[in-house]
Amino acid sequence: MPGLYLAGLLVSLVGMTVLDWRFRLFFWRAPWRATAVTVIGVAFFLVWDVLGVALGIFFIGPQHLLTGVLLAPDVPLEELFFLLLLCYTTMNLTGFVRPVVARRLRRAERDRS
Amino acid sequence: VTGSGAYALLALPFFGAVAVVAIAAGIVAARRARTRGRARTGRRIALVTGLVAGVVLLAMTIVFDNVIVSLRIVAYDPALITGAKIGAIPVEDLAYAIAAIVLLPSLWVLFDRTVPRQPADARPAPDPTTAPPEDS
Repeated sequence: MPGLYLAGLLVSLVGMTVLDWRFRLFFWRAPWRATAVTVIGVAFFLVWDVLGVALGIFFIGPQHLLTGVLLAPDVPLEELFFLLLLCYTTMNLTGFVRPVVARRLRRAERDRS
Repeated sequence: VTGSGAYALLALPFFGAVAVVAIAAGIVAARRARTRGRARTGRRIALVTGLVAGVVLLAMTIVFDNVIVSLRIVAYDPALITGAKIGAIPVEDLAYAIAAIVLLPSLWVLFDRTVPRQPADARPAPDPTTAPPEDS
């Protein structure tokens, strides 16, 4: 079914947004900083993708799940949303894990001193 | 770039760029922390956070990529990958997640323009549900 992959990516992105909103992890913590990180991150990985496609390493397989809209040869529209999800997931994870790690390490340090 | 190492070699310049950004972030973070005298703890927090979040991200990547490769949304030229696989995916696929977990938090540090009014390390860890936005 065309569009199924895009739908899956959008659902995942909504999930990331809800987690970000609920726990103030990334955009809800520092919106402009998060925007800058996301724009540079997505651009960085798009360059990687375009080079991989240009070298013939990976390409769109024989499927019926993509919308068919292409950003570049063998770079589907969906790739943009995949890279957004990769960046958002990475930063939400970091935002969630960091305070937990910080609390534990500081407590351990206090206990030693 | 041709041969079975092509996909792996493609990652090298990107890893190089990521390393440069990470080193810059490390220097900036250390300089900020030194003014508060807590550089060592800050570095350990960043490294442990990266390791923990990195392991989770790699696990999620392995699941996600296996799904999209199995559904043939993406395919690979078998002549240009090493052939080492995790399920259906070439191990080289993990390079994206590894780059992301180092690059993006490093950029986050570099784009920090907030000037702490008090030593940030002295504050209790903020409750994520009530932490105020850092941008203005």
